[in-house]
Amino acid sequence: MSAIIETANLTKRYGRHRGIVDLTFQVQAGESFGFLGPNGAGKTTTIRTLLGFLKPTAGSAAIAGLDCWTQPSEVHRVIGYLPGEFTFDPSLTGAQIIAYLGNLRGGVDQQYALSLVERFELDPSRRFHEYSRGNKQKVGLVQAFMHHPRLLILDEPTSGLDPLNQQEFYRLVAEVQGQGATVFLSSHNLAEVEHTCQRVGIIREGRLVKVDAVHTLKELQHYEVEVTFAGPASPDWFRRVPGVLGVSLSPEGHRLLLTVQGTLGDVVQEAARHDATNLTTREPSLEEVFLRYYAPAPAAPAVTV
Amino acid sequence: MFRTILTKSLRDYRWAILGWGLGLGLIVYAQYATFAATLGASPAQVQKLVQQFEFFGEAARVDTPGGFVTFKIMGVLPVILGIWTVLAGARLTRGEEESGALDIVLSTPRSRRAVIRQKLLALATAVALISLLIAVWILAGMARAGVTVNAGAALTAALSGGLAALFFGALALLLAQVMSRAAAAGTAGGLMALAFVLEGTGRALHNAAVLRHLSPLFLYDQNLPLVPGSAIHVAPLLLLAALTVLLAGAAVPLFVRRDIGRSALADLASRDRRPVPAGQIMARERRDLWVRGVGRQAMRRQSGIVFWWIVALALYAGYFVTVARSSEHQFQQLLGNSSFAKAVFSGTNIGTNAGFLSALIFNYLQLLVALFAGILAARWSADLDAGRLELVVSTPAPRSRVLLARYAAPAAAACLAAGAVWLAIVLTAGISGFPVNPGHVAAASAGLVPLALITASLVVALSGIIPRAAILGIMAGFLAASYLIAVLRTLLGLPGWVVDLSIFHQYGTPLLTGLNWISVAGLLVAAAILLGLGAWQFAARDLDRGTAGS
Repeated sequence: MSAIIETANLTKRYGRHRGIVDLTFQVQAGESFGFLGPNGAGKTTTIRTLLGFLKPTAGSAAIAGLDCWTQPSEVHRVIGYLPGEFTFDPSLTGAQIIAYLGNLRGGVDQQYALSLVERFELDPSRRFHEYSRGNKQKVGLVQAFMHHPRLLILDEPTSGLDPLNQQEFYRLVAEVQGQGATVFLSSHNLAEVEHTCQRVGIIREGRLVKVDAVHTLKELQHYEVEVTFAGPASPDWFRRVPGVLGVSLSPEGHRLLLTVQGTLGDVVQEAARHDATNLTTREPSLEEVFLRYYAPAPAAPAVTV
Repeated sequence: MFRTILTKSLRDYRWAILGWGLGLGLIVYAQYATFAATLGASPAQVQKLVQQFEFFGEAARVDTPGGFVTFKIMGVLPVILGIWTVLAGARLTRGEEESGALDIVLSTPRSRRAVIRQKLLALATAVALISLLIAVWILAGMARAGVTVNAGAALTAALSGGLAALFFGALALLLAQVMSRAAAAGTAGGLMALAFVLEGTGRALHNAAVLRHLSPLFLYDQNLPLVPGSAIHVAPLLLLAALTVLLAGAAVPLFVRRDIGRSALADLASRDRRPVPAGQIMARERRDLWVRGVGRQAMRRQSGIVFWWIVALALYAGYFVTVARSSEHQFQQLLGNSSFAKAVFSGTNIGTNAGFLSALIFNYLQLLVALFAGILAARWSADLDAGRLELVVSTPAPRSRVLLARYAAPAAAACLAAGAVWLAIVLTAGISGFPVNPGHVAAASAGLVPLALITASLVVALSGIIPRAAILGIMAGFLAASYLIAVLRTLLGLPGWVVDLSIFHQYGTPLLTGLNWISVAGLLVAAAILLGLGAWQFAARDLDRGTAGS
């Protein structure tokens, strides 16, 4: 696979305000990449820089080998885009917006566009200002997918969609991925990322703090392990066990609470050696993993992948 | 400024208050200044002359500075300011409603009644502040002309003008409760133009005086506070104020009771519409010529406002050809080369048919067409401010092409306006038997286009850098300054290079002398440079998401 999105030390500052700092990552052609982060972390700034709407303060961004700032028209031929805040001429109907953007873009598969309209049960005869938020989002999705783009850049794509249409969206992403398209998707919705993405980038305070496969992130997650012993227990038993990051003794002195990373084999063996009577583990949800990355930290190292 | 809806709305109006107040005030001041140079004219001749032009304003004691100013500008002042009040009135509730911002305001514990009342109060306050600025300029004008500085008269004149303009704003607000913002602005603007024509016609033609009673401007014209010795009639002003309150008051319950985000007219139109399959709708829209490009879409979007402007400009031109025909001989007998007449019509010799038409029609059309193109071009700025261009710019079309396509809309509208003016003059002249040279009329009409282009280019060059309201203020200031320089060039003794900067001076009098190709080329080059600057800054800078207006 070759990289369809490639950034190198991509930085955007707004005067004294931080935008994004030293973002370096690649998205491979054909993969689905989730971009996660709290509000104001820099997700939309990254996307708008990729689209050539914002000029990088430093570093570079390229799509399909084309520089996003100096070759925006060529870049735009490759992509389908759904902005985070989709606004348009309020007096146009959904059909007119789709026809208009189709004319500007060219190469639209009209049958496919119609099938998308029907698939999302969009009424194309209504004016944009008459649409609910969800229906506006459907217009946005139709126009983003209708020309079979090689790369889809979707900013909060399921925002405002009901669960049924969210499921339809997931199926659509799977379909286009099956046909070889790449999906770059920013989201707060972790279930959505698990559904649709193979890799995830986590951005916090403008910096990329983690880029990894979704399953690797899960593997990297920590376990909370509680071991109960028949007699008094000692935290020292586990301090040197590989993978144990922390250990604490319960007030009654018979239970140890361990924080473990990786596999549990060594912990189980050590527990058996000391006649453990019970062992329970709790797997933190993916959400907790992300929250750990989201939580403000004094100095998060930039990640290069 | 963000404590109440009233103060927030006033903050939104700050640029308009400054732009319109200073711009209109300067124009009034210029009339006082113009008068000073005409003292040598015969009062009887002057009085007789302006009576032929009563369409524009009341001709009373025009041999005095106050009478002259009343005749020259105070008659049209409510209509000029009315352009802004109509737009503001239509936007008052419908603007935020159509952009989706009103929902959040109405979700606060403020009642709808309180919201519309505060917004109305803000509009009325803004008009009052504009009127106060105009009054200050009137006082300065009185001092300049050497007449008694009468603060009461200045305030009455400016405030009653503001009230008349506010009447049309209230009308637009009422209409906007049952139709879209654009439709309400267009309809109210059309009714305002009709009111002006009825009042002017009734005033100028005594056998049609009954028409005046159909126009609310008749109530405004009952007071001529700047005319020496003129009594103040409170009743017409109170009646005008009552009618304004009635219109605005009628809008309040409609706003309180109706569905937000819907318009009764649109609902009525779609009531019996049978559902059409999505495929048919999509296929129909694909065939629609008007969504095939950025420029065409912009033209379609502005077609309503363009239509009404062009109709109004053509009617204006046609009407005055008819007036010219009916009073042709009197003028030639009266005027000769009267210095006063030249001063009245900015140096144009109106003793000939062409001079007469040039003074009567093109002197004002040049300003109107430039304003028209500027207002159309400002839509680009509004779209940039609102972030509505993001998806368009995400298509493969280069930014510069998007901008140029959008620029084509005001450019095409200006060409259409010029064509319509030419046609209206030639047709009405032909029908009424008034001899005009179609070639010269074509030159004068075509000469309007560069003025429109340079104004539109100025707006485009500033778009995205500063908010739309500020751009409109700067545009109004630019046009007012240009117009004043052209009008006052001899009185103020301005250096030649300053006078040359005025686009209206560059326009000249093509109906008399033909097009000055050097001036035309200069204007086109300046327009191209400004447009190039706009294209460059649009292509080279970050595309904001609705942040320019905040």
